[in-house]
Amino acid sequence: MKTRLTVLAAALAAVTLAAFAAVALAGNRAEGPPSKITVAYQPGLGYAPLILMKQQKLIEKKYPGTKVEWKVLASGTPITNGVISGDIEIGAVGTGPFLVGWARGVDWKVIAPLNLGDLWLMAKDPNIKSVADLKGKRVATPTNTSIQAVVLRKMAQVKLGDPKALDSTLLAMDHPDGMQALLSGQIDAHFTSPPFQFQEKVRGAHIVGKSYNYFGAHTFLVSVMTQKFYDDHTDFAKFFYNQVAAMHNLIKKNPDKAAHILQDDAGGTPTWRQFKQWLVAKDPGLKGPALTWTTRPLGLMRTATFMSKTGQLGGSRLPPSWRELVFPPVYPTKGS
Amino acid sequence: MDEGATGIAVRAAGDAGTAIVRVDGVRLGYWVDNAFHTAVGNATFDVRPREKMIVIGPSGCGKSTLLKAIAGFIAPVGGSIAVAGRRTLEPGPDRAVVFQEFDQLFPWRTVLDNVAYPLRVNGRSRKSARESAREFLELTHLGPAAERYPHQLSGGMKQRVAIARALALEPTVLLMDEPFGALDAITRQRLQAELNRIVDQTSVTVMFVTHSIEEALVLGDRVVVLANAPSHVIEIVDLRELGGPETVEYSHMRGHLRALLAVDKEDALDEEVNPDGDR
Amino acid sequence: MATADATVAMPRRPAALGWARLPLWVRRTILFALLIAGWQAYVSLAHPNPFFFATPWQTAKEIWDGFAHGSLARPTWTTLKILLEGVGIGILVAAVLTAFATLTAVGDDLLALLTSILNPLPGVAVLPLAMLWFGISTKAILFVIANATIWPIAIAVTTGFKTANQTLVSVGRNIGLSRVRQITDVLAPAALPYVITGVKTAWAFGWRTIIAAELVFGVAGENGGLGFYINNARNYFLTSRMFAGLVVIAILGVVFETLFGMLERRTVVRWGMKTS
Repeated sequence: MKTRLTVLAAALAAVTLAAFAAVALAGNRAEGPPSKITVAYQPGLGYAPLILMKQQKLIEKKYPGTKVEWKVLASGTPITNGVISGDIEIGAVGTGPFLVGWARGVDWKVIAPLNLGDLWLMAKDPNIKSVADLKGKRVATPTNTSIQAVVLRKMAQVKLGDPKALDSTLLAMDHPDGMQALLSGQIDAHFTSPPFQFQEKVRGAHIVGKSYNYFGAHTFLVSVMTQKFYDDHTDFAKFFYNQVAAMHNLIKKNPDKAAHILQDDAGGTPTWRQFKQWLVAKDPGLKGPALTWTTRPLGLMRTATFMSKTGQLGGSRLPPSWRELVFPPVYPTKGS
Repeated sequence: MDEGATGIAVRAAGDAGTAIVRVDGVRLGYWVDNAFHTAVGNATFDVRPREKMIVIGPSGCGKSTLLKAIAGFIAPVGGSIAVAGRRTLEPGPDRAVVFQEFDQLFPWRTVLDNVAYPLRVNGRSRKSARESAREFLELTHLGPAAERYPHQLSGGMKQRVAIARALALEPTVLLMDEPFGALDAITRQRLQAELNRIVDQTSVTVMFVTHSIEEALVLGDRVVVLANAPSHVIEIVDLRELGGPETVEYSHMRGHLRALLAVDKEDALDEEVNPDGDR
Repeated sequence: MATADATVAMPRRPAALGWARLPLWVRRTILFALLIAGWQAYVSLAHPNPFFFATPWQTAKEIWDGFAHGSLARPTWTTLKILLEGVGIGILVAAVLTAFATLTAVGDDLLALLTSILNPLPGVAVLPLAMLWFGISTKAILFVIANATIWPIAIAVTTGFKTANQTLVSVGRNIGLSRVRQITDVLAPAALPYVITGVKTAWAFGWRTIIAAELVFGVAGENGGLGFYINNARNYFLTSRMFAGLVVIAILGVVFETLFGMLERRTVVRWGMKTS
């Protein structure tokens, strides 16, 4: 018996040690300009600055020694996982997931906000006129930590008195699935983003609520990196920020060129004219375009405060100011 | 009942004219690929009330097939079978069967339940079925095993339960298809004696298929001897006046039966049977 | 009277292996404890990213809290309820199809055909289609689970029927059973070992299907099941909750395995129809 138990204990110890060794050897460190950089984003118009950077090979030109990889992933979760594990150096995510991660202790901050976005809650049934009509109905948002879900709760609080009033019938769906579900009548409302909200409007849906009306103008998408990566490659981080700002200028000053680049990236459809219209889209009757291309973050604190109140930040620390959430290159923009 | 000279009770068989089972010119077989294989070519015999009729023959002579036909599992392609005057077609409890296999009991029922269940199926109340079941289990000396499951029983006990089950149905004729064939010699002898005792007590009519001459001698009142396939009835031997195993007549009869069964394709009528059993 | 010769040594009984001598539950518990210790040792020594690996203690605490305050208890019950309903539907439909297959030749062919087409479809692959047909409701998930469970059960039952002891079928005919009673009183009990195996398989498929479906389906809030719970934990970076959800699934697996074992011991093992 002794022999067998000894063998068993030795085997178990060997397995544990092997696992430990594997982990210890797996981590790799980089100094100076990064040896590799993976940038990950999701499908959607809001990621245009990154697409423009990619197509023009701006990083590759400045850092020829770095292996640059651009990944398009279907949802935010693999992106956040990748950033945490070190697989992805720069991830593009929504404000909501960024704040949740930050509150849980993920050591990341925003390196370059990508845009401000007025996100629309769309419905097809003409009887649904306001958020109050949505009680008990099926509403889809990207994930339950997305900025759309957060704003929906704000809407519920304002119109129904309880931020969690719509929680029980809330569904999580990717934008394309959600759009199809809304148009085919399977769900009653879809809280989405450009270009999907534009496409839904064209196809007969109407706007039930706009996020700007409840949160003011606010940041929609951000690009994040870990503190560690920033510390190791501060110059690169600053360069990246500058490039994003440059892409914003490109969109504002030369939307035709930007649209052509986006069309190329998309393989021909949608056409550049469609892209141009979306990039600078300003619906009649609206105050400004749905997407504002700026590296100035707005509404981060407001969003964080609200999420903290509804328990989405897990009751953990609120940042004392917006500057805690971003890296130094962003400070001069005087965000909020 | 009369007692013969050896003290073995001799059952008074019914009159030849009141046959319980009438097999008349029956032809039986089965299809293999596209050819019809005849097992029984032409069988004619009667089984009289309360008698123990043995059907014996070499392997493949169709004796089991014949039993199955009487039971209603197979239809004859020629001739007719009548049980209690009815030309029966479907299987039924009036011709209760005891099979050779041990696994003829329902494994998920207790011994008692195995005997009672067929009675309930045929309309008896739960209470009366259980009472009858107990009676017949007592008859076969299986009372203590009533609450056991079949897998806990020995082969011999299983066959006794099967017999009890069949008897409890109070069938017109009890059909037994080599029920002791899979048992060891000692158990087989014991069960043969048991069967004699039980059947005497209940005065049921029995048709018993076997390939063992000894078994035929111990159990039978009369013996139908079948030839090779396509078989016919070579002879029907009457054992009722036979003495006990130690008598000379007994050995002569054994020899006679052996001779009959050793017959290949020769015509039985050509055989000269010497009363001393020599050929 | 001769007594046994004292100088003849009794043959030595081969020493029973120490490990095998311990009772089953002790062995299982020791191995389980060693696994937990290994888990804890890995976390303590290798310091994996806390977002990727929770400790046994954190997981246990999460499970405890989750059941005490309902945040884990409710999704567990939701998932179980839907699964039970789905498997129930699967059993019923399988029973009808099997009866049809046993009673008619057409039914037999139909069942074989349907099984070969529909059985290989993974539940999650059917879900999007189900969502189109039934809308985004529990009905869609029930449909998917039913599909995952009908075919293993139908296969098991028809195999059970086909390999049923023919002698018993003959006995059934002999004692005068109607065709229907042949099925209920002879074929069904004879097929029980296969049925139980089939239900066990169907249950396992059902579990996998429902967790995966919930991850795809994403119903939120009070109505979410375990799959949603795990996915939600992922969104909120609550790794210990992810572990907790998985551990609960594993525990439920053990519980049901035990229940099935009990069922088997009371039936097919008691009747000598299966070695335990």
